[in-house]
Amino acid sequence: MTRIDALAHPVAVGLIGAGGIGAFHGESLAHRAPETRLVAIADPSQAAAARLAETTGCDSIYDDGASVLADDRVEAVLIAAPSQFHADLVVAASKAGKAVFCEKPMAVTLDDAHRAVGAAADVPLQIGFNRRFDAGFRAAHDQVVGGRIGTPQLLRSLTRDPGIPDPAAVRHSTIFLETLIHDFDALRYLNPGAEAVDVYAVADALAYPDFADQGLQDTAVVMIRFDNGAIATAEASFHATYGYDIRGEAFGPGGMVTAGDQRRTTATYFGPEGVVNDSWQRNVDLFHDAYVAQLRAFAHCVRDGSTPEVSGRDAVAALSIALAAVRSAGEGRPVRIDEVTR
Amino acid sequence: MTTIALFGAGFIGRVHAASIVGHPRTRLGWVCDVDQTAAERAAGSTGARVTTEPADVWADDQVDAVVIASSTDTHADLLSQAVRAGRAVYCEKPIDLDIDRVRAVAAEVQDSDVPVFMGFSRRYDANHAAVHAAVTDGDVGEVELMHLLSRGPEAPPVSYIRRSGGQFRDQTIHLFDLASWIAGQDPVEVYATGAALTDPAIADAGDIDTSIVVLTMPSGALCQIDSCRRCAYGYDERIEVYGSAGMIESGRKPVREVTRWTGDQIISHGLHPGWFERIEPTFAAAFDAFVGVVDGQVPLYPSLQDGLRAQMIAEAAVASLHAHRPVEIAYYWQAS
Repeated sequence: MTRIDALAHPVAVGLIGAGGIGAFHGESLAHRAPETRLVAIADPSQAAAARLAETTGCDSIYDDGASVLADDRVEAVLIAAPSQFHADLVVAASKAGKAVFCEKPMAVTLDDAHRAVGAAADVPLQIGFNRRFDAGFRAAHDQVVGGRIGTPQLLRSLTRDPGIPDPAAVRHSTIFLETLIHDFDALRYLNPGAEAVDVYAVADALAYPDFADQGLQDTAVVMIRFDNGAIATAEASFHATYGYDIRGEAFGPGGMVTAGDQRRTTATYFGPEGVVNDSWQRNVDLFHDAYVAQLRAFAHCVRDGSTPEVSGRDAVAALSIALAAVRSAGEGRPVRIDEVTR
Repeated sequence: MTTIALFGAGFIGRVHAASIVGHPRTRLGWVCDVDQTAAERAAGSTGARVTTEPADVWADDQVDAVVIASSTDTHADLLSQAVRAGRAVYCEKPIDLDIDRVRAVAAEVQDSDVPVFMGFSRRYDANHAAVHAAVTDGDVGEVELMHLLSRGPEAPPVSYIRRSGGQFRDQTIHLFDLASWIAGQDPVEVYATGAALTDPAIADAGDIDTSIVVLTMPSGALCQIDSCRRCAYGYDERIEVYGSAGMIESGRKPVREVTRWTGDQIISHGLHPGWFERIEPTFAAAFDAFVGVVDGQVPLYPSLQDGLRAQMIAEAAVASLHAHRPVEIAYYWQAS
């Protein structure tokens, strides 16, 4: 009954941030998810907002988030502004009584994260950890929950992006706070019920060494120990020259389950040079269905009052790991999670 | 015909005996083991002479080279004796669990021109060798990230674990060698974490059974190695190398390429039931390379230096595990 409700009465969403992934989200809200409608777009760049308005048929363009929050037609907001604005926007949107979908990271400090979670106590809050909505990762998670591998002992999660257009614009620690944050959440997803205890991280500028002096980190490995005994590696690179590569793995006494595949389609060419598949090149292609599924799930939560399955608590946990990793990489030593959370 | 003397008539000794007998340019001249009966069994109908005394082997001028596959505590002495006797050696790992003993023997070997071939036969796995060749040829560009793993299938008996030197010196050491060989670099730092997650008796024995190690190479490349004594899906070994021009993998090897489609599942044949089955072809391949070295036809690798390097990495990993901090790896090639 609740499904018909969201389908019959799509949730009116205001988008804050029309650049990059925001534009993709806007199109999903308008065209790909039947349970949502895009009713407002805010971006300081009116050109970006107008471009998206045209492709989505949205007729309300603003240049700031406050205007979206003041728009009575808006029931929920999707926050896709730059990360440093996320926490404040979550707080403001919650105070305005809007349901909140916030792109990761929800915050970049724990104080901000707690502030945001506290403010959002009475509204649906969902975080954009889209990997959880990928069919493969979800099925892997379900198998772990179902006991197929037993208690996880070894885990792995990796994110390799095809490249960054402007290495100079990538701030120090971005690899932990904005990229590996997905992997920290994915590891919790594949090791459900467990929390990280300590972290050891190493990072360097290996792909773009010319930018090492300005603090670029484009390659990182993080080792994590969990409170159920499992040990894990999270890894990221900003320059996979063979495409977009995202994988997860959970190994336990009962076996191993993995998720993620670089092959773009089932079309396979057999030829003299070998067996050839095309690889994923963009995250919005690789995770196209996951990006949409997460919005549809959010809309259902807005309608039926259920708690989003990936929420503030998950954002705080992933951020805690990320902050410990930042400190570990900076100081060259393992860091306990409780060092950063107290 | 090259005459080979075999020290050690246990499981691995018998594997080597088969390589020696099967090779077109070698014959098995001696089997030497403290257990006469075991030696006779290994010699079988090969015509090899049998003894419990190494001195008998050294006294025989017909012996050109030796294979040392006896118990670990005899390796260093036999290796020393072989070098003094001027006989080329294929020596199973480890040389000795005391790394200073290894350095001392390495110094003796260095001072002679006797070829000593280290039994890291996985370098002769066809897939691993292909990855090494491709990386060396620059196919993946500058190496940035590596991942190696060795898992299961079952832990050895606790009695073995107690005298094995621990997971890093016994199991992971092969991967330390493969990682440095493929990267073409000696790692400068290690951070290790691990626990006994599969059997408390392993913890009681002072060892771990599940671990992750991160090696930092001088170039900055990061190499992750995970090892586990138990694996429910067979013996798993895999190498992945990622660099500026792409990625290459030495993948999981199924026992055979048979796949079934039934009901709502697709089931492919699994991995080898044991580590021996997986690496079995490497023994003959490595022995063949050894014969080539003895004949002066092929370059010697892996060398005793390679064995010492891998063991120094293992020592640093053990130190990191216990100190719970990263450890810089200093390479001391000479005994202190």
